[in-house]
Amino acid sequence: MRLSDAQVWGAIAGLVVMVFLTRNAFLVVPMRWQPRGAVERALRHAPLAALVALVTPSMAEALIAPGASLASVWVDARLPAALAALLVSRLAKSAFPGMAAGVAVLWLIDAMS
Amino acid sequence: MIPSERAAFIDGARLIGGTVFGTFCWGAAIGMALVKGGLSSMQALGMVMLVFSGTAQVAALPLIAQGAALPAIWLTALLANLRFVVYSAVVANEFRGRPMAQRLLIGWMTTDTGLAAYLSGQQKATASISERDRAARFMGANGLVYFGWTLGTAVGVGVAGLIPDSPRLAFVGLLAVVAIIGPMMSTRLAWSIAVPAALVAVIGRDWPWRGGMFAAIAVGVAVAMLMTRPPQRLSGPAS
Repeated sequence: MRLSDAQVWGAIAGLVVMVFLTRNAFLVVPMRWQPRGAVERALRHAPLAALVALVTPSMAEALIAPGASLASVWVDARLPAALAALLVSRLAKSAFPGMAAGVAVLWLIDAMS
Repeated sequence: MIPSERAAFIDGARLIGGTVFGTFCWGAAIGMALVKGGLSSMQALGMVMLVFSGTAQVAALPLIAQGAALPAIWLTALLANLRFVVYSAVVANEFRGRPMAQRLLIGWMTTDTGLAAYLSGQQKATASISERDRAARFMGANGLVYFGWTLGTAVGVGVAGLIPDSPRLAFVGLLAVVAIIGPMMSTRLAWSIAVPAALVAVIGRDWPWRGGMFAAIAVGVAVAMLMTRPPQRLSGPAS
């Protein structure tokens, strides 16, 4: 069953509330509940872990697919493109060249196959 | 905005820089998906500009399309976004002296890439800057993400149905994220966090409510706890 227009707006309003609650959770609770010391410092590495977790499943998809081969991973192009993006951004110590390299590899492989 | 704040804001935007193109492509892919999922253009744009969370939108869209109960949609978005609770602890500490209104704005505009770029910028910063300027820098980084994301979605909503959507478009957004990770991988600690996080994320890729991602974050933070030494006093711009 489709949601009515009003229901969709209701769903969106609720999403706004949910996102606001999660993103501001520790900003509104009293200071003494905030993680401090070693925990706080460790939490500063959470975004790195999250970014890695955000990208790796689709990068690895072709690799872990049943019957995966070097050729299928190459034609899928996502893993080679990601490795290029990682390598170039690491060497250049800058994100944009890395993204450009990744896109270039993606295009090249798509053009070749 | 005082001059040092404006400079810090631009400095923050520079941390994101050209990768905003990837955010734009990702936004375009989401915009097209929202319209295909049955949302009107206004609803799609409103959702993107107000919700401003790709994961919440991606999680909610199939449920909206199949006409699920609203509380189920909300709960799914809440669970898919649990990592932001972790971020909010970092952000709260970083900007504890700012007025509540600005703290709430800062919290709402927190993105994965914006926060990561800001934090790695902080790590490399040689001179410590005031909390007010740091807040401006944070808003510059996340503001540019917001700009690219919203613009991308608007274009995606506009062209939905005109051009075939390609999974490659959304993937450019992921390549931008990879490129943001790259410069962060300059320490043993970063690799020690990233490798197990990647493994856990791949293993848990089909867990409901982004559980795999949350587990990956938990593993990453646990590694960071084990590997970082006790605090050197009076170090770091955050304290």
